[in-house]
Amino acid sequence: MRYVGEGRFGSRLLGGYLVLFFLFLETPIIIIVLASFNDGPTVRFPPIGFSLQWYRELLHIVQDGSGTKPGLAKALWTSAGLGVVSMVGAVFAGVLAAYGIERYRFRGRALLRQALLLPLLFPQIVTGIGLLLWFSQVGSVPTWLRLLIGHLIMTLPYVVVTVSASLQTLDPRLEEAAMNLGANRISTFWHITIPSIRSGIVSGAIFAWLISFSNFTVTFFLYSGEVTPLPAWLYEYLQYFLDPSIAALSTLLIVSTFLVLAIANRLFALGRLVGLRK
Amino acid sequence: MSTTAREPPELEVKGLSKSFNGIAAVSDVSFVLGKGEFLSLLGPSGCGKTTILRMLAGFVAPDGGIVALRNSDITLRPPYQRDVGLLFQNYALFPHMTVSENVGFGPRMRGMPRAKRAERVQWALDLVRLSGYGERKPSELSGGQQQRVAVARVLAAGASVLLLDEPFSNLDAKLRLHMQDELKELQLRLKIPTIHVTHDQEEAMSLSDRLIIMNAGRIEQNDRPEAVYRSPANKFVAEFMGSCTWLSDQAAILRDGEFDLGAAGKLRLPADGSTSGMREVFVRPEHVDVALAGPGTFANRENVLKGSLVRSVYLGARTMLHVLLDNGQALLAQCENPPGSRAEIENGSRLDVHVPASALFPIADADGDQNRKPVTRGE
Repeated sequence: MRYVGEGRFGSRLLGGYLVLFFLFLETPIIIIVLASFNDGPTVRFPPIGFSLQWYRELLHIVQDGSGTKPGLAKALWTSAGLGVVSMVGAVFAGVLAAYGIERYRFRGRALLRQALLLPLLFPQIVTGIGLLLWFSQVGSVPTWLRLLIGHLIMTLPYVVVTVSASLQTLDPRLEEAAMNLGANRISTFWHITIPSIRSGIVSGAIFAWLISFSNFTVTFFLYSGEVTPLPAWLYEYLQYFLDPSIAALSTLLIVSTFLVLAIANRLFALGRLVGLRK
Repeated sequence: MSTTAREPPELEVKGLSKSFNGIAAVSDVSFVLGKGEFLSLLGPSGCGKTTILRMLAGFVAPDGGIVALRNSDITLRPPYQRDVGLLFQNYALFPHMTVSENVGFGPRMRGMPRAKRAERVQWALDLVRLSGYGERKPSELSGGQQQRVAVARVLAAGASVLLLDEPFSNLDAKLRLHMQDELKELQLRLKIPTIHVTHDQEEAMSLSDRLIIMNAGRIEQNDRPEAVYRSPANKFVAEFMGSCTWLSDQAAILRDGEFDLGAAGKLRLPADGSTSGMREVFVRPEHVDVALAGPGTFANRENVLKGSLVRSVYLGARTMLHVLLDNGQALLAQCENPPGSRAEIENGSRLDVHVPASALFPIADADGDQNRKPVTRGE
């Protein structure tokens, strides 16, 4: 913000810095997107010509589930499904954990909070190796369960963080008022607490799904041939081939992520608007 | 302590105590609330009045003592199994529900069938004159309307005792008076026994049948508003209920039914002997007459003291005069301002101060507060 009597030079400098900053941040994405339109069989930047052929090929693969990329369609569904199950689990456990941490005072509360958030700070490779060692000790844990446990660990912190933030802005007197009006603990939680922290729950859920869907490092240590999430499949594929259809796939993933976030944001803005109007 | 409950009490509190981290917030508090009675718990912040309210509502477990509602012990019952309606300071309306849903929440939680519930909501909204507002959200209402919704919500839940937690402090001065009237009128109409917590002594006096003055977790006095004002149990109560000028230890010497205030003059004490044997006497600014000194002023009257004006504070309806009596004692006097322009009294003017014998209030129990430090309120 420019105050009275301040020249334009400073704000122009700041504007220039911002442009450079975002260029730096988004360059990989821009390169991938542009490369996906390359009119030729190799990944090139800058692209030569303009073609949608790689998108057509992707559609083809997903439709008949075979061709040059066996397993892609299955990997896509595996990741989407794993994301949903992880999201549901992380929301259930995360909401309860956040409520306990925010609403009760007990010994070891700060420690518990740190422990829940630790997977955010820990190198994922350590989590992955740790889980791998543990599962090989336990033995006979099916792959889907391994992946689910790994993804729950990775997604839970996001739900805890967003729900905690919502709870911190929730006036405890609302819950007291509900109890004063005759609602027991469970009714109060259901009718007052949950609706009041809805935005935290939904954003936590979206984060959880996206994190699970795109996680590679932990997934890498836990997946197997029969259950291959998309990032693992991409990794395997890229070891042998590199063609613009991968860039096209990446572009689609970027676009769909962006859409999910945009829709969620819009839904919330709309929700608030409807709440005000009605 | 005069607790005059003609009928069996609605709510009875006996020996209630609570400390937080070893610091006593409430110590051995006992009182009763009669049928349809309006009782105010009055005291400075931190005196324990809010803790008492939270114990009555079941949000805080007492360390000791009993809370009985209509002769049944509810001391350790959870908040949702009490018949005690709490009106929150910030109203605590549920922002995601409409006005009707807010008001219907209590009946719904108590399992009232839908049709009856709608009737109940309508009844409650009619009471607070908000019948057309059922479909609105709390955020669309003004502060006064929000408070009315909160009142309707508590009443719809069918509480048999109403608890008010400084409910008027979020309203501006004009609206506050209006809402006080409205709530008092409703309380009288429904005859619902009410406990009101506040630090505003004027508000407490205007609403209450009885006041309980609290300090440092204890009850200092429990009596009708007039009695608390006219015969405070101790210095703390006297000062909490209004400004006081103390005529006691320093300058005054008691002799033959008279206070000798040295150069300022003498004060004859009330003839009824109400002040005999007392150690401290105070006079309130509103009971003192002041006039410019002159031969005709307060002629043939007793109890006229001499002094001079230090400064005056104009308050609109009244002016507060800071007077220095000739014996060195400071005295506060209050004058009503006449409708026309008022005669300016210059600082340093010589004044005659008439203190009628009937305006001398004794502290009956000067030693009653031996363990407590009287909290002196700043001007």
